[in-house]
Amino acid sequence: MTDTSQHTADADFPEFTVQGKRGGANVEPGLIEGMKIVEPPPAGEPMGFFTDSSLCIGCKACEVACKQWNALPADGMSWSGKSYDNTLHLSATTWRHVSFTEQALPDGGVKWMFNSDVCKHCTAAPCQEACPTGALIYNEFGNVYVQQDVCNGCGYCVSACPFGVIGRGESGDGLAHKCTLCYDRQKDGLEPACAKSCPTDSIQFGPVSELKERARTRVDELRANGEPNAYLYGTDDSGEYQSLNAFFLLTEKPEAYNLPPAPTRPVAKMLRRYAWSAVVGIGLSAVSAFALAKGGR
Amino acid sequence: MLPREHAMPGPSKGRFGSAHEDPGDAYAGVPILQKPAWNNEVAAYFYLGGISSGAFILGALADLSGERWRSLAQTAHLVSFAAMVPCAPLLIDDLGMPQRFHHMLRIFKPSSPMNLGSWTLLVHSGFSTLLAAHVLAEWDKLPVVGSLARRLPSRMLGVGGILPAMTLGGYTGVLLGTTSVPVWSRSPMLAGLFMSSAIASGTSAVSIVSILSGRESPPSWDGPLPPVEGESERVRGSGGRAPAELAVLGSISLAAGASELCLVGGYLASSGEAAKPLFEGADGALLLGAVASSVTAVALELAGMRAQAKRRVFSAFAAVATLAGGAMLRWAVVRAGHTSATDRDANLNAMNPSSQNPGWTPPSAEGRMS
Repeated sequence: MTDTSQHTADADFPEFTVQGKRGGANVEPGLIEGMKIVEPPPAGEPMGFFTDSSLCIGCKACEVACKQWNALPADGMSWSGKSYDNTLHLSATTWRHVSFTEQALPDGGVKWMFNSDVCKHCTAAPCQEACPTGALIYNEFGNVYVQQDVCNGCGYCVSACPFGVIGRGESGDGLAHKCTLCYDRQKDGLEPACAKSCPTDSIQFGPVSELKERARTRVDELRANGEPNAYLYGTDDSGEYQSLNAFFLLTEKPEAYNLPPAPTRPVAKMLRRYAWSAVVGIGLSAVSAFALAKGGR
Repeated sequence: MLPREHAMPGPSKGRFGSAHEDPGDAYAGVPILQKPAWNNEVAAYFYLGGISSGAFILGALADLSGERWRSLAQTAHLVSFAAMVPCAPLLIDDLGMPQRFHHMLRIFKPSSPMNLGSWTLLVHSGFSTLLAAHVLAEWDKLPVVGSLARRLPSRMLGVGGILPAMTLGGYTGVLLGTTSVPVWSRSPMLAGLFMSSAIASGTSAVSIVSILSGRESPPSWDGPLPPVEGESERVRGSGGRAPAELAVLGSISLAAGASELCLVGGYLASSGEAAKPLFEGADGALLLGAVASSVTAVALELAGMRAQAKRRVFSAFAAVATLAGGAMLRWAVVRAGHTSATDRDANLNAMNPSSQNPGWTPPSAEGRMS
């Protein structure tokens, strides 16, 4: 009994005392733990990725590190025919994807560009806005995260994401999967596996504000040193799309890396669509009511 | 061990050696978007949900428009219920983890049309079930709870259920419209088109059930409901071969069919290049079938108006055409989404920089052209 009173007297669970009598209820301690509504940790400074494609050497260490840390299955190890690209795009089981872009130069040479693509962790993420179950959330690091115990695999996020990042594990559990920005590692104060493994620091991890500053300095540096086309993809809000917490430094147009030049935010136009259905629905109902009132007399 | 053809890729194979003058072509043919996860179950749900929605609205309005439409309202309530029953199973079957279907209802999140739609389907199912129970109780065909169901305020239930029913018919178009898939999301009119088709197919389903069951007119009063003085006597007396129900249902079908045709045109026109999959292949054929069916239905209704003696035949065929067209429309649009999402050019077209949405592009025009 002394043991029980200790648990029910826990300041976290005053509601588990029976009619105010502390120690009155003999409740299994583990049961209470399971029912505890955990307060989410307070939101901290947003953390993100700065992927500097000008430093990428296409080694795919990030792909491997990601697969290893997150225990993701292999993709079959086949060549795509697009340079040295294996997977071609991100998917439920591929959370880092190195793109290989070969450009034929007029002098006969080839310019080779690499970029390690990843979930953009949008600050207004279409997948999160679409998610009907609340499985997709922003965690305390400002990252878009799929709660695997909540997701029911409806597939809405798959079609909502304008980057084609999030996938449904069709051959696996049928749930939505994507980069977690190594939530588990961040919880323990570690940087994500891909950033840790990147040998050239093309993938940098840190507070987004700090990364943006670093990225802007890097763009200036590149422009001053013969790469006038260097620019940042996703650091600023653009039209209907807000900034990305995982942004990129690119030197070619976004299409070259198979990124959309101007991603769209589906929910931005949602009310107009409801308005159309309401106008048609009310209009035809009015016609029906009129026909019923006039008819049969 | 790697397959031999994978071990040594080289330019000799022809499809390797992927350098392009325009680096934007490096990933030619590789879609940006993911293929949608929605298939036949979703198309079937859109269709049946639409029928249930349209029939419910018709039944509720008929209930409000006087005792002479009682028979029509009863048919409509039953049709709405019958179409509603498979909806939830279809949606649950479509989930990646069906046993977690109830997670849809763990929160209320109107910013997600799917969440709002799940709540709407739940509420609509409630109204539709109660009204169907009321109808069966009136016919003394509801065991156990019959006396309870007979006391339900059917008009009030109808009024309360109109909003959820209308949302059910229209939100499916909003759901597709609130994605990144070009053919679904470029035009706001898809939501109006689905709403219109919901009313057209719901009305047609009621119409065909009325005709086949011979319940259209004169009212048979086979239930405990007594003939009401005055009005219903006149209806009884007027029982000719072109029943009043068919005239009214015909007018509603005409309006819904005409609006559906206008909205198909508007939807395709305002989708621009994104509508390409709806002009090609099997999906193009399906859409063509949908349009042809709507045109046929409108023509048959117009012909039926002139040939009162054969009105039932014309109306029946018009209803069949509308129902077939509604199904073809849903399947065409859902399937076209798969083509659209996996077409890289369509992806890029839909996400091209514009003045409202400039995106992130390199500083120099030279850079874009290199």
